[in-house]
Amino acid sequence: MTSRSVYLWDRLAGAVIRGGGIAVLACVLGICLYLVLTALPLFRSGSATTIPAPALPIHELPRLAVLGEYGQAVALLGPDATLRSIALPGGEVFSEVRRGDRPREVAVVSAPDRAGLVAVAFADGGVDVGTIRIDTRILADAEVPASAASIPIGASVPVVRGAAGVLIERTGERQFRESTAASDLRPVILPGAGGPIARLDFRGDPGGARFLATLAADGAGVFGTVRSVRPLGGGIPRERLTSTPFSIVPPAPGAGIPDWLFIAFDGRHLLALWRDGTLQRYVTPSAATPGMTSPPGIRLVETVSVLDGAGVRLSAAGMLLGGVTLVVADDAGGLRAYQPARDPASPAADAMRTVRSSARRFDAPVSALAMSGRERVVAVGLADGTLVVHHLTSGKDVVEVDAGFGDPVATAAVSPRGDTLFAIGQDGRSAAWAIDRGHAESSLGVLFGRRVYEGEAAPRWTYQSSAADDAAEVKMSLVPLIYGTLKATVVGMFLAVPLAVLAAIYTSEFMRPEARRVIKPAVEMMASLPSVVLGFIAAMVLAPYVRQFLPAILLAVVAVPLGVLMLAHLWMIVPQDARTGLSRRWRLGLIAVAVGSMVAASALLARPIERMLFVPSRADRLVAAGSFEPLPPDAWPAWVGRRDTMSADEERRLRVRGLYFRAGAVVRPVDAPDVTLPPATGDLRRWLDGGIGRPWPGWFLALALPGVLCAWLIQSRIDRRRTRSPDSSPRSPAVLEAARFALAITLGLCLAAASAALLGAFGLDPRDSVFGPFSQRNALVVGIIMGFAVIPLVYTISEDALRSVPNALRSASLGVGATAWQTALRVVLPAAGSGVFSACMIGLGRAVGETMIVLMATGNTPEMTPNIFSGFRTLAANIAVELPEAEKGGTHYRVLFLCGLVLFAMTFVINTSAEVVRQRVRRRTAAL
Amino acid sequence: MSLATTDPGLPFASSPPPVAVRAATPRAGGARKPTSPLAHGEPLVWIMGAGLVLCIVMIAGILALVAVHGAATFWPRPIDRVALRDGTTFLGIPLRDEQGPDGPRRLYRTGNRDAGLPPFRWVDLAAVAGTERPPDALLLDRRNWGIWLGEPTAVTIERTDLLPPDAAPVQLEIPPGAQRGRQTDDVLETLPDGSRRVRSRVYLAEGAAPTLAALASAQPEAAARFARIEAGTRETLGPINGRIERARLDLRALELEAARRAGDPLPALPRWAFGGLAALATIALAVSGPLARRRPSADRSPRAGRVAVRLAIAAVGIAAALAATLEHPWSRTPIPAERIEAARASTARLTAALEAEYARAVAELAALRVTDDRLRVIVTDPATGRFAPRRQTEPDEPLPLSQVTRVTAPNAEPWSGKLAIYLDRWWSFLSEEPRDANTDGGVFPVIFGTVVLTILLSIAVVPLGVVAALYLREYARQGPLVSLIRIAVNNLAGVPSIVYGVFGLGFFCYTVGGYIDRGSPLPAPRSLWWIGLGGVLLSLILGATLAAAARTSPESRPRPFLARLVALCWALAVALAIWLVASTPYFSGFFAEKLPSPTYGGKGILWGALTLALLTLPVVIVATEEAIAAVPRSVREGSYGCGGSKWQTIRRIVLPQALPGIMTGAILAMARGAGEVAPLMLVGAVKLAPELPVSGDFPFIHPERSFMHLGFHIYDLGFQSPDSEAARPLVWTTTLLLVLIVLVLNLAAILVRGRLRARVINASV
Repeated sequence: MTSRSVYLWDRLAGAVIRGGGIAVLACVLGICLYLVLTALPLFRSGSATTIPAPALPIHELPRLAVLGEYGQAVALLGPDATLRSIALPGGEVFSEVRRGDRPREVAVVSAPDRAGLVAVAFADGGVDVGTIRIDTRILADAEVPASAASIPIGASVPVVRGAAGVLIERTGERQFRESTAASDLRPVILPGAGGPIARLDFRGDPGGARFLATLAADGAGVFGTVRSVRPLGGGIPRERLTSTPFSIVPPAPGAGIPDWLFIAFDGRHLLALWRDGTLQRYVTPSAATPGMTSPPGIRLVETVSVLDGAGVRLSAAGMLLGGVTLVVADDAGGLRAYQPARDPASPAADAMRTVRSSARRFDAPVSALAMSGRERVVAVGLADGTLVVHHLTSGKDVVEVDAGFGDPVATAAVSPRGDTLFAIGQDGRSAAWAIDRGHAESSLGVLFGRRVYEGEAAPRWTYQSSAADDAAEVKMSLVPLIYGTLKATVVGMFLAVPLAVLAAIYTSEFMRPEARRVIKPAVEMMASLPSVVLGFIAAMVLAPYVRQFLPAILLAVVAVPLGVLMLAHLWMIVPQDARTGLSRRWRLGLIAVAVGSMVAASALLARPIERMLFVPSRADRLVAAGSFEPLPPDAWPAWVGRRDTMSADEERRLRVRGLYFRAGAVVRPVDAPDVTLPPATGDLRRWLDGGIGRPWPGWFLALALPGVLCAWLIQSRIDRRRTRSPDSSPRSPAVLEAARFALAITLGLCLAAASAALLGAFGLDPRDSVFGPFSQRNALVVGIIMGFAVIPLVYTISEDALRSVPNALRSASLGVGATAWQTALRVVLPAAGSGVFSACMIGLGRAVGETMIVLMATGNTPEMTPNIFSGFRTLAANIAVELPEAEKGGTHYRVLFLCGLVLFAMTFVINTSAEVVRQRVRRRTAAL
Repeated sequence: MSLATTDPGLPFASSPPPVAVRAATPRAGGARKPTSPLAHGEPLVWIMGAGLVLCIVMIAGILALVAVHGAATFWPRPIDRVALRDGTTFLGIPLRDEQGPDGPRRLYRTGNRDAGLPPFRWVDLAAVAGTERPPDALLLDRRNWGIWLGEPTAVTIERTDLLPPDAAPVQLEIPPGAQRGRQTDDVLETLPDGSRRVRSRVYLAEGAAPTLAALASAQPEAAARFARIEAGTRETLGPINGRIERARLDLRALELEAARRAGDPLPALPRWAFGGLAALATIALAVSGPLARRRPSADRSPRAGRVAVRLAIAAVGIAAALAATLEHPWSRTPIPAERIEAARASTARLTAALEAEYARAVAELAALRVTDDRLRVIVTDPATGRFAPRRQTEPDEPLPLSQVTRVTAPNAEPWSGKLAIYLDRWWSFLSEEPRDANTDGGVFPVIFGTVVLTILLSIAVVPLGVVAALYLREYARQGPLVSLIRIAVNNLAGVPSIVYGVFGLGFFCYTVGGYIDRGSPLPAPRSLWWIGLGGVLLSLILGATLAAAARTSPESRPRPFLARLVALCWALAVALAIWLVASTPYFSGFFAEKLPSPTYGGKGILWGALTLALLTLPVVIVATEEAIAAVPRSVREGSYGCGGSKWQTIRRIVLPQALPGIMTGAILAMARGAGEVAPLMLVGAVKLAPELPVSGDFPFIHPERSFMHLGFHIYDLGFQSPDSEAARPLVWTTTLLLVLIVLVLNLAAILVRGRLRARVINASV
């Protein structure tokens, strides 16, 4: 009789073990699920809840609405220059301030910039500048008035304090916050003031300078910087304007004055915009660069149209924070953003062009626009009473709400934190919403697509997660990171796979078992080397060596395989009797000698070959000696434009056409007989930087190995056909073989040289693709060190796959007379092929996710160039660099989780395919 | 034998037979024609060999590099006095030569950072007039500011005492056994605040040889005194601070509890209901057992109805007991304000008392410090003529002797003396704590952190890995589920380690750790939670009942539908239970009083170990599976034949036989965990951990503390260090240490595996 406890234990253990097994599956699913769940909110839009706002006592539409930092109150500037402040959940007017003694009629108000700077022009011709904002401060316990001490947490109460009222909120158990509407508008004297101002803009730059631009109804404009001057005796500071007059150039007869005037680019540009879509860009004296000879004053440089349809008129416009991007909206529901960007080919005098950076079409005409002061978010009021909060970079509608007015939204405002939205309809009704903005700045388009970022003329993939100031755009495209990951992987695998697979075949097929028992664990040991050690060695030891011995390393890549093959052919010439004994016992030693001698030869020959190949061309030397003539400007390539400097890249583009850039002009070398040329010494690094030389040597170097391989294959094809003829029985086949191989090398090199010349003739330069400027921490270093991480893995698994081929197959093959080599190549390798493939895939998976090596041995710059001498940033390194600093739950944090998810997905695909292939292999070897 | 017919998929089957093979076939009757050299493929074999040679050279090279650099670091190198052609001289330790832009140049380590000179100096060999090795040249290892090179000048006793008004300066005390030398006159200074200060200096030794001798005799005592001061700071002041903090936290916890109770009024359930219900259910359960046993039954298998009834009674009991503990109706009364006030007052009293104690301890230590500060050493740098200063801001005050950790005169040392210094340096490297932004000192906490992490990791990973392997080998029926699990295991092995770090940070640190700290972030409403509990109990009852129904007798046909239903019930119960724990409104965290600074909700060694456990799980699974598979089937069948149950067979037969394999897996997992850095950067490893994760303070093991790790230390020293050249020797030694640990673990695994294989071969014979 079995005891009950045995029965019970058996059941219990079974349950625990089953549960544990399934928990492993749950682990993988759980990791994946957790990453997905964390990254998913990036793609959701936000949500809004209505803040109860009773009918506001507004009878005249305000000219300006400013929301407080926490969305607790809104300040409204009425047409009679009265500033009313309204508590938002509640609607009480807690403060009402009027400027001066008598009411003044407001003519026009500028939109507040990100620091809250506002200019107000009055109908009487005066202009005030300053800020309108809602100040908050935390109250000390003693300051809390009795009326506010017992309100519930989250509520607010208006309190009269001094001349104006304040709003006191209770934010915590013993925490109170006081909000005050503050305006420090002060008059500024305009030169020649007379007529009322019709348009104006007022804006500061990060350095603290403030710019004012005004336009009178007669078209006379004034632009200048405003400074606060404190009188000597103390007292209220006065605002003083240093001004430059300008006048608008009418785009068409009778066009009148522009409907909007904006200061852009930190006071360097003025933008004049008409309702018919005409945009004029003026440059101010502050835009002058040292090299450019520009007359003083304000000049028109560009006139473009910002409409994209006929019969449409603009209905609203504004400048985004940072003052670079202009947002326009039209009465067909279109919302577009424009920005000036550097473009050498632009016809404008300052080599800039106004480009469109984003576009969105709504169903109803746009009636109001409001810019956020903190991010690239704009609140769009539509004619059907709908309000949309739209993020310009991500192109995402964060929130869409119906104001319930039934008629167009007249004024809208977003709080600085983007968490409160406020709107006023045409009839004075108002509404407010608390917004959960979600992750407004991320969308599929931003994360994987190209975007026109500020200051750029064309859409690009860019990753730049942190910026110097909050006005700068965060660029979160993962494509450069994925590119970097693939680049690291490809370069690493390029070195590791041949070495590992070749070594595995040798170990499995040509090595004595006793040697194999030592060698294999030794290589496996390499797998356990911590990657932080490899990364440290890559950065501290290998990178300086690569820098120093770059020509030798490049030469060795070509010379070692070819040289070893050649030496092997020569070895075959040695009479067989002398050979056999040595070959059997000391073959690996012989090979080591061959490899060593080829490495030594590469090191010795590298310098002379570098001097010989990477020489400056005759044209380079002519220009260096000063023998050149300028080209007439109409013969310049169109993209050169007007400029005083060129990047190395652009100079190289010129040189491909045989042209140079000297002292601001495109020049052509002139072959004069009496010129003393500088000596032609080759230098690989200068060649890589694009300073000297023609494309040919680079192509030659890159094509040498493929060329020789090609020639050899062709040769062996011809050779096979020839051997079939029964008569030919060479007396010394080894000599013939060696000669043939030497011929193949020569032919291959000639082939490479010819194709290099051909590619060069087509104007293709390897320095635009695989080669380029050298930086010390580069892909080549990573590739070499990545080999250490990947080789052992690929080696062990391939060797196991090769060894698992049944010995019967080998015996059969050898039995019918095949040599060991033929058996290995045609019997063992095909049988174990998929195992070797699976090994390579597993190595690939390791290379994709390698972190410490790339983190330490690359510059971690998210570039997208195929150049093997430049740095890059991989997904894994990006996570390691940025995740410790990312705020938990924020957009950046979730983007990094998305990086992890992408990495997970990449390795999942690779590993699963490897596993599927391996399971097939297992079945097949079982069948054999 | 025809391969082509057995497997037409092989490519050589369809291609024509290779020509060379035909050439190699001996012709009937004719002379044997020599085989074409092409057939041997010797050149291509050479290329393969070249690949292997390169691989071996790479690994040998990297190991040799680490070994040479790491081992050479602590060997005392000679100090050169270099005279330059421009007439200047300096002391420097030659490090390496290099081809510079202007011919060959040599790197000297010159130290003396606080004298305002660069600690490393490249010198063009062409500019050197001559070098010599002065036997007196001295190398001081200091607690701060790195090394100092100079010539020993004097050992002094320094006095800078504040004088009470109208008091005459007293004689300086000389330590017993010291030789009193020349004494400078007392200098009286009047400080800006009106007090007076007397300064004087007594030379205990002057000149190179006496100074060296005096240093040798006085330095150990000074070091011991300094150690006493440090120990006093740590062992006296630290605990007092800890007690003050504890008192503050206790008060805060009381306040939080009061606020929670105030916002959460007493529920309307009568107190006795819970207890009564629980008692009733317990009695019912106790009675139902004997009742059921008394009934005659044909087989021992439980009948479904009986199981359901008993489980239902148990469930009611559990629910009632749970309700009684969670709702604890007798203690939900609000905490009276007087009690809080009293607690505040007593905390204030305690704090004041502790602060007084603290001040006393500080005063005692200060007296010791004054004595310690008197003994100074003057070592002059010939380049500037300045001696090693007390601080960079006090260049005229000589260095206190206790600040010197080691005095070396390498030029005069014989070979054996150098060896002694070398070993001593290694010992202090292994046993001391890091100093000077990790660029100096030892790595003891780093090794300690690595070891604790590795132990925690293996504790976590081995049981889980063994259970998973047992499931795969012993319990699971081969099918799609097992294939899926195998793919999952392989993916676990292939997922980049940094992804584990990301997951660990998000899940372990922020989610689980945050839960431990402050409870559920989104607590469910109470009623919903109790409904959820009911759901768990119900699905458990249902599952058990169905399982009993499905197993009425061993002979009956298996019912797959019922089995699936049972599995569904279990899954539902598990999912609901996880939800119950995650959203409980009854748990507000163990460390809520410490918020907003996280306790478990941040980086910690526990989370690091769990993350690495997940990472190394496949290693253990694969190794264990291999070991279990190697246990011969016959042994198992023997056990079954003797009447052993499955679990008995596994526990007594399979697991002991598979133990070496499991150990291999554990060791390999430890090796992998010890060498992994990327995930640790995210979940636990820090540049400088103030406290060790295991210490003498209660509760002795602190799994929430962050820790230092050898791999991260290498990254930090090599890449984040303010003075990377000075840190470089230490990086090499740390690297050597890490490589040694990892290699030794791997070797151990290989050896164990080798023994296992040998046994398997023996067993199968």
